[in-house]
Amino acid sequence: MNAAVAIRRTAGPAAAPRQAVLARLMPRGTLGRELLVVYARRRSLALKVGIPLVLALPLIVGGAPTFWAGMLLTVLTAMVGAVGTAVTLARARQSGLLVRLALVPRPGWRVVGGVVGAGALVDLIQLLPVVLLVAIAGGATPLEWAGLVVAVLAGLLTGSLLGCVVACLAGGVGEVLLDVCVLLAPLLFFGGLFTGVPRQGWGWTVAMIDPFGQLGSAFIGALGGTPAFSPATVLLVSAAAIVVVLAGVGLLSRPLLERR
Amino acid sequence: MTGLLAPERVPAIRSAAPAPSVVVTGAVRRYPGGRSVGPIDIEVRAGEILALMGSNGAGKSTLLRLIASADRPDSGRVTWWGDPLPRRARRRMGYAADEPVEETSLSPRQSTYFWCRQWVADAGLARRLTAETLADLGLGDRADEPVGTLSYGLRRRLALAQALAHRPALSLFDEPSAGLDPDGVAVITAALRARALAGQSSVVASNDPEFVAGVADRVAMLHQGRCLRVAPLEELLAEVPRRRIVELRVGDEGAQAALTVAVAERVASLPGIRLVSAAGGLVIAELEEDAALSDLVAAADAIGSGVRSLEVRRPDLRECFHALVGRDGEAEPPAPASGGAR
Repeated sequence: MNAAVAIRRTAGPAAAPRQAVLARLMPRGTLGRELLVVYARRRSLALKVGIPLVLALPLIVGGAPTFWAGMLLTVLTAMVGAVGTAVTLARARQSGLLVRLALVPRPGWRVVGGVVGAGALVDLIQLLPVVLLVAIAGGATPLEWAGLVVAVLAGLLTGSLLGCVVACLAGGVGEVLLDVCVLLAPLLFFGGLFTGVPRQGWGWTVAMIDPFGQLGSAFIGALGGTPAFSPATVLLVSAAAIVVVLAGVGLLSRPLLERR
Repeated sequence: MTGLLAPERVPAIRSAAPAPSVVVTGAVRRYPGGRSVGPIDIEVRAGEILALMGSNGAGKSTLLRLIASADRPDSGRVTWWGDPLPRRARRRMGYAADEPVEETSLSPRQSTYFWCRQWVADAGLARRLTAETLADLGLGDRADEPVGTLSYGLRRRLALAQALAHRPALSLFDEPSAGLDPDGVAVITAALRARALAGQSSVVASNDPEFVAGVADRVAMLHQGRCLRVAPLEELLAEVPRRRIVELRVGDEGAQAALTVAVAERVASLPGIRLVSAAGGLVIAELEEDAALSDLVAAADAIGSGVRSLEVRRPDLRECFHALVGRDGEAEPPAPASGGAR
């Protein structure tokens, strides 16, 4: 945030302290701009943090079977990432913001990357209490905890990439949820979320490279269950997935900005 | 008035040769359902203000988006300073759409600074340009309030500030005067004229004849997706017959329809007076130079119409447009001609 938002003093009229602090923040790029908007709407962010907690708390405290708890938390993460990005981008298209962003003399990946990056960061903040609760309740090791955080970020970014695809395809905000579900369902299924990860063969390979397969495994492991993949594998594959997904967002950025 | 209105301080990016800023050649944009705009040939000269006029759906916004490189033509081409690459052209353009686009929780200073920074690498310069532009457009004292608290007119001014803060060589505005009060129109007119003096070009799509008459060097008349005519403002106005236009408002709301018809029939029968239109209590007529205005008013009064208001004006761009396309826009679009209206 420091790189994206320059702090300066303005000589504006005396305002309420919160507004005065807000007015000093000057966004340089889309990342800073999006974070500034989130900062201005802190009440909304607090609600966003609370909703996943409300959903996750009964699962964790109630001692739900780790396989089902892991599945639900993975689906929740995927939906948060995908729907959040798709709705943000679809609204930006409707309002004309994407058209204006398409006309700035900056690489598309920087413009869209800022929007997606800010969204993923906020989503991660939104889910961190849940991740923390899972790790504490399940007695996760530091490696499991680190793997879970990276896997959650990879899951959110993969969801964001799908959100970009949906924003490219969808006719409007109303279509977003359906399109997200259609794209997410096979990824969740082949990640072994609903049926378990096969022990060998192509099913195992697909689940291994599927970020949601890794995320499901990380949740199960952190909750004290038997994960399909080791924490080190989760950490490495999820980190690689983050790189691939960011490259995918970069490739999609121009089509996304220039689609009318 | 420091930045936009002081051309000597504007860091204009001037072309070495007086080449046109934009040349549109045979550009066609097709839409689903068969509607299309073009082929259009038009050029924007260095340092001029070109106005695009036409009725709703005539293709003004589409042409503006083609020039802004927000849309690509399905056929034909657009070049900017002789260069066909939009990526390079975007470094020197600013575009304001017809609807203000801004996050309501940001302040005008923050949002203008954000857009300015997309072009201006130096943070200090961007801050200065932002402050000057907001001051010039009358937003200086509201610069740190949330955009959501601003009126529609002030948000329109903000949209213009965002498009102008980085001092583009070519600025494009869709309906810039819409929602502005007379003071706002005067401010944007002055800003555009100052830009033109500094050699910077502007294209405005507008249906506001008074605004266009006050700001434009040349006017392009668009109708049903075609460009019918491009000419200097003075030339267009000189072609309009020297008549007077009279707008009579008659009757109260209850009896408007019948009275309008009655007055229209009476007016149409008077010598030297041509009925232009009559609907909804508004009767518009054209008077020859030697026709007596008093005859018209007396005729309207004679049938107890209760003339509520009377406006007499000289023909303006509305009449130019109507002369080209007919009052109801009944004229067929002309066949595409190579070389078109430039």
